[in-house]
Amino acid sequence: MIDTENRESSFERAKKIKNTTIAYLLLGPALIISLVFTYYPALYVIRLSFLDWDLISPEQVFVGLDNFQRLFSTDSEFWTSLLRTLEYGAIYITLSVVLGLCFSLALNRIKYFQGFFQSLFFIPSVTSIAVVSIVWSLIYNPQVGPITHFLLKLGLERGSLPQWLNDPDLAIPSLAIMGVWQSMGFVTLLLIAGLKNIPQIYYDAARVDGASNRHQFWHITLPLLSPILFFVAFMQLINSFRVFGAVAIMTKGRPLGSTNVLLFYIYENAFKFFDAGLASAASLIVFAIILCFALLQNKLGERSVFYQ
Amino acid sequence: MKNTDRKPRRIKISLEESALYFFLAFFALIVIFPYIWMVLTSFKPASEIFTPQMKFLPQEWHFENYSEVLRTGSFYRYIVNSIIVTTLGVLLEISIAFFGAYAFAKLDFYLKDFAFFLILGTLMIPPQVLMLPAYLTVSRIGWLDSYAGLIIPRAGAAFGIFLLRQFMLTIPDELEDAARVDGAGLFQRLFRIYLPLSFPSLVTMGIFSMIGFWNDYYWPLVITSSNEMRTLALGIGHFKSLEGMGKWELLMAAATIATAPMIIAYFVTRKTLIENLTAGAIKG
Repeated sequence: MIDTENRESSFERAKKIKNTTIAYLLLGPALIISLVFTYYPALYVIRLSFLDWDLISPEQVFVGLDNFQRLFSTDSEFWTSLLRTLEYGAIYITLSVVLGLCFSLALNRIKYFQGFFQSLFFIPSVTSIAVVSIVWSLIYNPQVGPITHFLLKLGLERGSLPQWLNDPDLAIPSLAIMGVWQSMGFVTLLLIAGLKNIPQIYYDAARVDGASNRHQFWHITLPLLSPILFFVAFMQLINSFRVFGAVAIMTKGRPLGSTNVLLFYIYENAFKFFDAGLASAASLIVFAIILCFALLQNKLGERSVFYQ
Repeated sequence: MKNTDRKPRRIKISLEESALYFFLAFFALIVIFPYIWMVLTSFKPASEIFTPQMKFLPQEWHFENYSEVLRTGSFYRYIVNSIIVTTLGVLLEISIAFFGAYAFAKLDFYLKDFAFFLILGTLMIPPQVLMLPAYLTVSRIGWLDSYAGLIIPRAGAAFGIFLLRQFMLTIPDELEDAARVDGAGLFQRLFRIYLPLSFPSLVTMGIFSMIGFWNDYYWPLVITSSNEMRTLALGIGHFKSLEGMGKWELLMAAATIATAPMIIAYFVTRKTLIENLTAGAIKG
């Protein structure tokens, strides 16, 4: 009896060992690519953040926490960069969550063309940031852009027209609006999925009790949708820290450094000023921030179980 | 009594609904307007762009803008590069995802959870944060400014493995067991059973992969240095220097060429694409 059990388990083990060989052969490429191009660079960036190095010379000087000290010094560009990113994020998150909520509520109520509108709103999500940036550069162009022509038709003076990307105060909001335009479809998609998950029975019960539409929204829809709303808000928060292509193509940090968002700050320090240490220190900070958001998002996501 | 009660309500709903349609149509127009403007501008002669009396439609349709942009600089080369990178990239990513998904869905092996965590963990790290160390890593391997450098580091397929694994879990083991009894080897089982069954999922994943490779701007920017290796998305960003010379019509023609294939692919497959995206984002 004991003997057969042993034989069985040793047979199982042999099978598992064989499976392990096969599995790692099949997974080899995926694992190697993950290790070489994500985990190795992730460790490498930690090492780099302690070095003074210009990317070219063979000399790499260990400087301890010097790079972080420079990064956090009061006259550092990093702070303004962080501020610009947060400014972008504030506009981007608010607008996309509010508009996304309106769109998804509206789409959820109509009978026809639901799929049509949904797929239309999603088109910008399959468009390259390069194309989006080029086309919106024309849209925002203060000389020949369509907004300018429209405002001139309305009778505004050419001198009083908004300069959009050329105005240090308007550049970040302009970029954020473009970002909202591009991500709107995906946000709406997620919120509609959330709305469809709310059991109809709550609404039926509320209607029997004579609750008004507004009442139903505040007391059923919003509380039950809140986990997904939080999820979307955090997704957009993380995305706002990843803005790069639009800045690299449209403004290059200008005017007056007003669009110098964090990733562009890292990019310039790495590939323009060849300050590997400072760029890496900044990368680590940005990564830590994003990781915190992602963990918070997961925590809130777990809580959603209680609502359902 | 009931009938008279219902009738006015129906009218009220349709009124509310028409307001919703109006609201949605208005925003649909805003969403679509940049594309319309892009295409219309791409057919305009330069003189119609710089006139203060701007017309919505081109007065004179300049189809030659497209042939001119194809002759400008290395634009033709950008297109070829994008086609090469996207085709090879999609094939590589799909294969990696297919084999990986099978291992996770159907095999019991040591350190399985750890391997799964390792691969999905790459999705938690935004690639742009690693731009400098990733660049240095590729440089050490010697793949800077090459197709290998443009393709392989981005073909890790974490999302694809996750997506396909979910699907393969729904395929009953009995199918494979029967084939095994008949003496089919691993590759026969993979290609005769799992490949045909998961083909629809592979196509969906392939479209995601295609959009990713075709549209990517950040990675080609970091990894290429010569004009000959630029992809279309990167090349277009570079093309913007033409803006200084005011060649908006050429820029918009270039943008149209770069967008059209993805929009067509999207419209052909949008149903499955949207379903999978929703499922992936909410579960993941």
